[in-house]
Amino acid sequence: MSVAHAVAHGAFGRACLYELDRPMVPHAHREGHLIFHVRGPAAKVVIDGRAYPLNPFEATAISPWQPHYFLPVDQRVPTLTLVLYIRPGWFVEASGQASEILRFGRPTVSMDDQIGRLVAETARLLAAHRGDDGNFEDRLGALTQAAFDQTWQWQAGGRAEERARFGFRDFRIRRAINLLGETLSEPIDLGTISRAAGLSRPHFFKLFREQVGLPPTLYLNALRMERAIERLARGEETVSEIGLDLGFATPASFSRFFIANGVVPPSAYRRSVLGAVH
Amino acid sequence: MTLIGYLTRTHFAEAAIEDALPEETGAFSNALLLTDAEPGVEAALDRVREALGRVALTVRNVPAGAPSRTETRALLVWLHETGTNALLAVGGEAAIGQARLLAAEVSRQGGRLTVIAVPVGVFDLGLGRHVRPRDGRPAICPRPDRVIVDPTVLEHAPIRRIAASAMEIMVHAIEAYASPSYNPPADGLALEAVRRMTRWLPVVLGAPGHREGLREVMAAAMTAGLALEKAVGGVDALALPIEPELRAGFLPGDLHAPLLAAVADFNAQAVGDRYAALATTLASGQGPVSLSTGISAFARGIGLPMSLREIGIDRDRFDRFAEMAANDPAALANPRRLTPGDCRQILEAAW
Repeated sequence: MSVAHAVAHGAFGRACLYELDRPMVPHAHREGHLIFHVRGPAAKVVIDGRAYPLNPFEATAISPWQPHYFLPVDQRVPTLTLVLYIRPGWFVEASGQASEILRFGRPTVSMDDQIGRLVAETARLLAAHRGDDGNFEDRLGALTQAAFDQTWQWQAGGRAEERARFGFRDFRIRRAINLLGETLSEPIDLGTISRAAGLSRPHFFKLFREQVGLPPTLYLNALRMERAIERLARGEETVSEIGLDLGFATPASFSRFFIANGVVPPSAYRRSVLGAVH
Repeated sequence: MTLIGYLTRTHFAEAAIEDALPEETGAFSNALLLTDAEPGVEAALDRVREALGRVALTVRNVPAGAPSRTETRALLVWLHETGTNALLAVGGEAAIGQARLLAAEVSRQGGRLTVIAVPVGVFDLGLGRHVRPRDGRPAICPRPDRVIVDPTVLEHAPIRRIAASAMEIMVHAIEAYASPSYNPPADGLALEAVRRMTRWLPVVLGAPGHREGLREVMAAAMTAGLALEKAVGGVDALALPIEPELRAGFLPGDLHAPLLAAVADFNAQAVGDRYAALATTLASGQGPVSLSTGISAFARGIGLPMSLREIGIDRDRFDRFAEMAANDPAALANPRRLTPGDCRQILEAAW
């Protein structure tokens, strides 16, 4: 059973110390995502269908909306990981990068001394102070910047992503995205969404994947997770209320969905959120 | 007088100290003044004092070299004791960098410090995005609220120092242009800084005190400073570990030409046609040359060392330098990933 040791929410997004021993389902989110190995056996992260190593020497960098999932190699012993979900808007502001919006150049980050030190410091501050230490955000910014910069550095034999991977979005896809966000608390039928957007269902799925980079089902799951995490962190409603409101028939189905997409059960996640939500 | 509004409010003119500084400090009856040991700073300070006759100035000298977080803490105490929120910085990187670090710390604590900089020397004039403290990582710091750039301050600077520091800031502009982050305005400024510096630095060195030349060299430094919205990389990472071990008579800027030549060869595959554009600018359009050849020829032309051997760097220390360089935060801004082995290879090539 995977465990959340510490979770901090902030203007930066989310930072989590997770002990992972279960494979997750393919999912995506709007944040830039960095996964660092802290302790335990090596594992893998599958990004866009290709497996990348996660070990003391290599971390993984996942761009916003890139489908991915964690894959343990040895399920008997969990892998302690520092998992960052960085809000692109915060990163642009903190780093002053004029472009790229936290789209990484490569999915692997070499754990050089500097990045290793930053990971250790960030993980220590998160575990000890749960993100409340004044230096936490500085460390997080420096770590994200260092990882981001490294993924854009040229290296012999390195595989860089094509920069302009997704460009202009068709107005029908934009309309569908708006509809998905607006109707999240109702049972959603993607056939209805595609018709409302003026597309046949197969054409909608094809165009969505081409222009957004993932199937609409994963996009919808990401929206549900976002909404669930936000409401869990606010602490004003019961877990069952949140699940039902997000269209899940039973608390158990909400819990299964949350574990598969977000590591731990919703109640455990709520207990681990100790930072302020902005 | 030219008022330049990019990134911050910058006055650029001969006699800007007399003409613009009193206007810009109009609201203050007292201010703190940070200064350093930059050559020519005494003359500039006299002019500042005369220009601000009615402003009570409390002066403090900061240590030479890069600013520090330790000094920032001491300055915070001093700031609280004097109870003002106006800070003048008159000098080189030490004074102006320290003022920016202090302003950043005051801002972190919820306060506001107005910084007016009067640069003395050829450097980024306080306009670059980052300040690199000697005891910490490069930090994004607010730029001075006002920068008073008066090229006549260079009339008191030794020619040898102008040459080395101009080479250093030009190398920064070259690295900014070559760095992979996407910032077209900064790219344009970087190329213009290189063009202006290569055109006018030899004039100033050949005819010390040449008014137009000094103005253009200062303008090149200002333009390079504005281009440092982009980060600089490999050369800085390699130079920093060596700088404390420079022998007497050598300046940090002396390291930059040999290191850039070697770094440019190393980076060539990663940078692509950007180096060609820089080489053409360096050669003033005269024939195809590589950037490393161009920078070496330029350094030779202005009498700067072309190799680490000429500077007397101890080759036995290369492994240590390489290790430090590869792990320096600036290494991440290099277009090509730098490992300790790569750094060692670059140092050998620069030797």
